[in-house]
Amino acid sequence: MKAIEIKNLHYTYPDGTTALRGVNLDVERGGSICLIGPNGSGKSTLLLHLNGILQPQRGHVRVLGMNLRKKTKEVRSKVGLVFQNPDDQMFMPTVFEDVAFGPVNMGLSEWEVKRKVKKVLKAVGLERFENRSSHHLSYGEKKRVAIATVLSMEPEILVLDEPTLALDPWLKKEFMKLLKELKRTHTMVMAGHDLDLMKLCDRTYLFNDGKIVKEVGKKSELFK
Amino acid sequence: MKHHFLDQYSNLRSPVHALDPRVKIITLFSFLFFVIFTPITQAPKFALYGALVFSTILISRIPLEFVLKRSLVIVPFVLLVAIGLPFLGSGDAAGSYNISIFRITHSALLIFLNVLVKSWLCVLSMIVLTATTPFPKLLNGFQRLKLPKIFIMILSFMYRFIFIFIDEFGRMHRARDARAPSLGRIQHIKIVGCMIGTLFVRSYERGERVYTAMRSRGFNGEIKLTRELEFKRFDAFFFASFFSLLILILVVV
Repeated sequence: MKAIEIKNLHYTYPDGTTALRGVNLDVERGGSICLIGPNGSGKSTLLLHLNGILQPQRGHVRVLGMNLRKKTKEVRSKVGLVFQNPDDQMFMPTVFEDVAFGPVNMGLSEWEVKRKVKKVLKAVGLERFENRSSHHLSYGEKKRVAIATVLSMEPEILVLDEPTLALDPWLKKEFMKLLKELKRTHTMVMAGHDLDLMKLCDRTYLFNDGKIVKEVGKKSELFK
Repeated sequence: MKHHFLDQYSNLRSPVHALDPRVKIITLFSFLFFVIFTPITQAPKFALYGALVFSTILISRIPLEFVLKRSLVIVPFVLLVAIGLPFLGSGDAAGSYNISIFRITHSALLIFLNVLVKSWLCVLSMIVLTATTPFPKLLNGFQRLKLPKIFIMILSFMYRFIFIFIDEFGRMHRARDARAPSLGRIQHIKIVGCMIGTLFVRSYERGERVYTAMRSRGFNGEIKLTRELEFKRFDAFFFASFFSLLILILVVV
């Protein structure tokens, strides 16, 4: 069983913009892939299909063998989607409530929720941040909390949109370390235009104009 | 950027800060109840209510100046009432208070005093509550007291995003100043109008993204919140003593 199977996926937004024009992609369980492409090439649209926020208009998407359309709830608990801007990801007043939001919606007991939040915050290096107000965090801390909010649902697949965007070189180094750590335990899909992401992934695909153009091995191949 | 119009003093350490928010809310509402239903003619009672509020402020260590400044919010409302005074009430004219053709009566003055004193005491006590309780805890208290979840959710979104909006507006403001340093008043108003429009569209879009994030994490329209509170012995003691003081004022004075 593959982690993600996408066949001939098309998507056009209601305003007529065609974002995806026949995407084919397979991701093995435990694998990690990176989609590199320019702004507006449809990467984010593709990522929104991976947990059923957008439903395929043509073609199909299967996640862990499950059909998106039928098992949206299960898929959402298996696929953790981390957005570009952490301020979109964090909408509760305190860090605790934000990280707890997923587990609470999954119906876990109060005790279990607490334990999870603690564990996950430790994993992203933010121990004892539970009672901090979300708007008092630094950008780097917000990025980490954004990942924690998703990790607390214990997803099998992590999907990250522009994970290193707007991080300074020092924060980025730290953050890449965290991603590397997470890669060991999760199937990962990343999208962005930061070529350093290629180092983290098993496979890299060049994405342009709503399609996967080719698989690339080295940075230099990108510009041929 | 850090903003301080909420939660400026809510992280101080004092017995009032340490109280369970539920206890504070209930105490506040019983205080409001007593204040509102005491006839304005019984001045000593109001003096004692005031003493009660001010001693709470002292114990909470919040600067008195801050509380008094904030309590000025009632001024517009009180002025509004004052404008109507000459037309209110009948009965004896209050001697030298007459202003040209307007007759100000004793009963009208009492109404004015009633609004002024009661609203001021109420606002003071509410300031004590909000200034000594971090906003998330306050919401927690209201939630445990069964305020409808939808209100709690709206307030918590407001708390989360208002600072982001303020920052965004600040950035737009700066961008405008950078490109158009000297503008006439009319042009200025026009541009502020556009900025508000832009801000609205941006927040609408942000709302969409936040909703997407919520759905990704299993949100299906039903709001579940977890927040814990613990009711301590001191909370019971505080409420009991505050309430018996109120009763005492009502009965004895």
